[in-house]
Amino acid sequence: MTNSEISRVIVAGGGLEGWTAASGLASALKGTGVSLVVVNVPRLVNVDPAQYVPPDALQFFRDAGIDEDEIIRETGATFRLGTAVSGLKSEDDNLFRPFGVTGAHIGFIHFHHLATKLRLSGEPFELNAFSPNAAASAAGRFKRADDNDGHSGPPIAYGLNLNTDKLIALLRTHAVNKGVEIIEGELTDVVRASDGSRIGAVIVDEDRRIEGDLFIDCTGESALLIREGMNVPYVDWSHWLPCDRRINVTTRGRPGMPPILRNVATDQGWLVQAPLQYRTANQFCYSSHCTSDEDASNFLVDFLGDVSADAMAFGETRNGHRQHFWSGNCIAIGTSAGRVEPLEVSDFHLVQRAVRRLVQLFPTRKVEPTLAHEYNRATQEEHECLRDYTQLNYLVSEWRDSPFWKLGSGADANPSLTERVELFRSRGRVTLREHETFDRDGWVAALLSVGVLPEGYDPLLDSMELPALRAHFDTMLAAIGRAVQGMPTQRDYLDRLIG
Amino acid sequence: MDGKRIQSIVIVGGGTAGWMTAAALSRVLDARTCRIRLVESEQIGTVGVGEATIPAIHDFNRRIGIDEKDCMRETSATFKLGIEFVDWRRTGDAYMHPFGTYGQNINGVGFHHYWLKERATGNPVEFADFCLAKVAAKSGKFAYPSEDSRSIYSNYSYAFHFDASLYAQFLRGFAEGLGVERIEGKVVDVSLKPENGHIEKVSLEDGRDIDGELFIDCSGFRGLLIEQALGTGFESWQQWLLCDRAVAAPSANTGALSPYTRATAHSAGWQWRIPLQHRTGNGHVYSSRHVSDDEAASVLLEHIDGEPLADPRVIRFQPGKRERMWNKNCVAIGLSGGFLEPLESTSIFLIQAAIMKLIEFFPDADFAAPDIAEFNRSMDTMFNEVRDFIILHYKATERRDSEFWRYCSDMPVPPELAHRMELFRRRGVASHRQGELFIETNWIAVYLGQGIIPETYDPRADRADSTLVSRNMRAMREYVAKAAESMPSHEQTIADSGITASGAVS
Repeated sequence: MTNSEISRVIVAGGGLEGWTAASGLASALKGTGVSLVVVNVPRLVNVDPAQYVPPDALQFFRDAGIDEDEIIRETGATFRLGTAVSGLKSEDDNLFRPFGVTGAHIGFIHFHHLATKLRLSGEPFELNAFSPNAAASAAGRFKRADDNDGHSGPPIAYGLNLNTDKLIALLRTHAVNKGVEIIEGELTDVVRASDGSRIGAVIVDEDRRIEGDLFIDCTGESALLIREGMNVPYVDWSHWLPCDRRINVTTRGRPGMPPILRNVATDQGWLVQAPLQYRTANQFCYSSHCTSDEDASNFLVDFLGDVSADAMAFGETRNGHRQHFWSGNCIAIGTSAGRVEPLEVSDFHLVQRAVRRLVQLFPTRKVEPTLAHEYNRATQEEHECLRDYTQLNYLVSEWRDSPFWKLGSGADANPSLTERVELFRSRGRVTLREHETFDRDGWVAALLSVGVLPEGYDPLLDSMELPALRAHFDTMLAAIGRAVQGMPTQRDYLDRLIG
Repeated sequence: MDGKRIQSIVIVGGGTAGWMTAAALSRVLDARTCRIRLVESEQIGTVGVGEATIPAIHDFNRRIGIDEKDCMRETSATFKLGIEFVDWRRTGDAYMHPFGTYGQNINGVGFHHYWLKERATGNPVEFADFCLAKVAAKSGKFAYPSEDSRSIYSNYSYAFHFDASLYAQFLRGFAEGLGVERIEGKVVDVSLKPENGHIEKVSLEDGRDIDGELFIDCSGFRGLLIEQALGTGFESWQQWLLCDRAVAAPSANTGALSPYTRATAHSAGWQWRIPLQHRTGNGHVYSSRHVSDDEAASVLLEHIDGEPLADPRVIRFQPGKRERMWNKNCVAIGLSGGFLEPLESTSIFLIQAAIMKLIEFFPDADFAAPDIAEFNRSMDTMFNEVRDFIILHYKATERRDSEFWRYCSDMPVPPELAHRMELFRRRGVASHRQGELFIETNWIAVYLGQGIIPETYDPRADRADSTLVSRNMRAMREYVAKAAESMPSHEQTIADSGITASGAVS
């Protein structure tokens, strides 16, 4: 045995983050003598009805041994191939940011430089034509590369759109099957251990003392353990990401509507539409400094048509992160740890990454400053990378002059994002930090779609023979076209999978 | 606006850095639109360190289009499976940093955690016995790795030992074939443009002027362009890396050709042993504050296996890095950019990395500032990481038998390294950063080799049944031993692969 001091882990607060943590830790630690307890607090976490995640998040399910088809069946999920962003550069534009690989390296040169070269010489060039994801999405078609049915072609990278409540139920069942104990009740107090350096127990329903060696704070924005118990302050990013209010409402799915996650930029804020199997989850994010709740709900009724204001759920959002995510024996996961406006990825993304990281760095002592430092360094960088990517959406405010967009254009003050933008604007080069959510092609798609157009391209591209390249492109386009042609529609594919 | 293309590149200095740069640039640029000239002088010798490489060299060869067998034959090369460190942890101790993995991960948990678990049960087994590269290297075996990932023979990689001056010659032929012009001459002056301080031209002793748009400084330690002309500044690392000189002498081969480099610690430095087909390279890297040149030379000769083939030659250097490796229109590649002692055979890698970064951030004639800043940032990161890996060998030691070693074991190390060492010591986590040269398995080999044994292991290793783990480990170890046994000898593979050098003594 490891002589571990950790034999009992308390996950405080259920909800999406609590059950993700419980299920991920239970799979990793089963058979090691560590027991897990979830203090399931009703209504503590104000969770959005849909989760929309990039391909990376599926690794969580693989690690936990949860079958992908089961998730899709149980959670009303649809496959997600990227994000459609509209209203960004003009009222009726529609830009797709695909997951996966776009084009292929040309020698040492990244593919997108070619788009710049041709644009600068006045020749139109659609970069997304070289994205299998964009092609499949536009055609409403889909197939997984590992389906063993003889078809081949460029693989489609996919994330998922999921129903949150159903996902929670699935994770809860999984966790319970792995032996997680549940205590139902209200969290009424947090008690420090006698030496003051860590949490000793949480109190449930005034008089029930739940002791543990390690505490996972999944209590949402109230952050009962990390803030009230450990006094760790919050680093506020609301000057960079202006949305502090949100409305959630679900609408009936429209038959034949392509299953694409949409981000619609409006004068007042962002509307995110996540298509599930039978319903669409809508979330409107706005700033209380510019828009009242009433105006926001009126906007939503106008925009969506068949919804009533009664069906809307209002919530608060505070962009930023906890100064330390892991302090003493307390690790904050979920909105207790931080939040970045959920435009392209919802909360589950950072939650599952946090759980995977905690599994890798799981402690054997109650207080582990070195492991905590490693965890905090990586988690903070992860939040910053996602913040930069999200804030990028506010750069193109030129054509909008509403107060909301003026609020959001303070991006100059973020040196990390400024460097990325300047580097790309100069010669189309992309710098990646260590814990990015989006890869190089993802950044390129986002930068181009917000209108950061490179003023130059990789000079080495000029030593390539263009006619030979063109022949090669035709082959690529044909391969993508053939592959997409051979795929079923996403609806058919899902129907077959659901059975 | 899109800038004007660079039409003229001047590389100052031949040697390994100069000719590697010339070969690579001539491969990616069109000689009809961009002229590449290399100025070197036969009067100035090259340093010729870095005769040992690491597996990253394959990437360079592949991307530049260098035929490995041609290159090995022409440079009297041998194969390399790792580096043996003798007397580093303490005198009488030896360990290998091999180019291969140890055991295999089980349920996503690294093998070394199971090894630690097994060790804790009172069944100590040699960690190195689970690494095929190490076991093969120590028995003088070498076979090309397998490309089938299911095979045990896919668990290692290899690099080369070669004669650095023959390597420069080989690359010269390659680059000249692609249109690089070589200019024989000694640079005596560098002129800057008054309007922006960029380099305008270099002037040669015979009166010729060579002008260009992009200048690559491969002039070695002195940094003829980057420092002497541009005054870029140098960041010294001497507080962590005491060695500032090397004394080198080749010797005749004796016995079998070992497929690994050896680095033997002495009382104020260490000695390399690099086996080539026709001779053995030796050098003693030392701290001039702790040992005189004469003493250092006699220590070197004392520890040479065969007959010395030349008088010992002293090389002076300063560990550290240029403040900016790319300044204005000048990029410093090789020792002009930074110097780290060749303890982990990284000299050629750092040249290669700078070349690849230069290609990735290749400029226009207007030299965009954000691109140069990003180049410098990533080169700094790379140098710092390699530096920390080298410092680890000095810091994690039990030796206190000389002032030199007492200093090393007491010195404070860079905070990032201190954190990483503590992370491993505490719970066996070998964190490695994205894009870093040395990955988890490299760090583990050196941590354990230098005697940093984690207090605890990953608790997930306890999911597996102890008896089963013990049994599997025994089987794994036997499997590795058998696999090594059935490999051909190093000499055999050299002969069978048709890479025997013309001047090699068989």
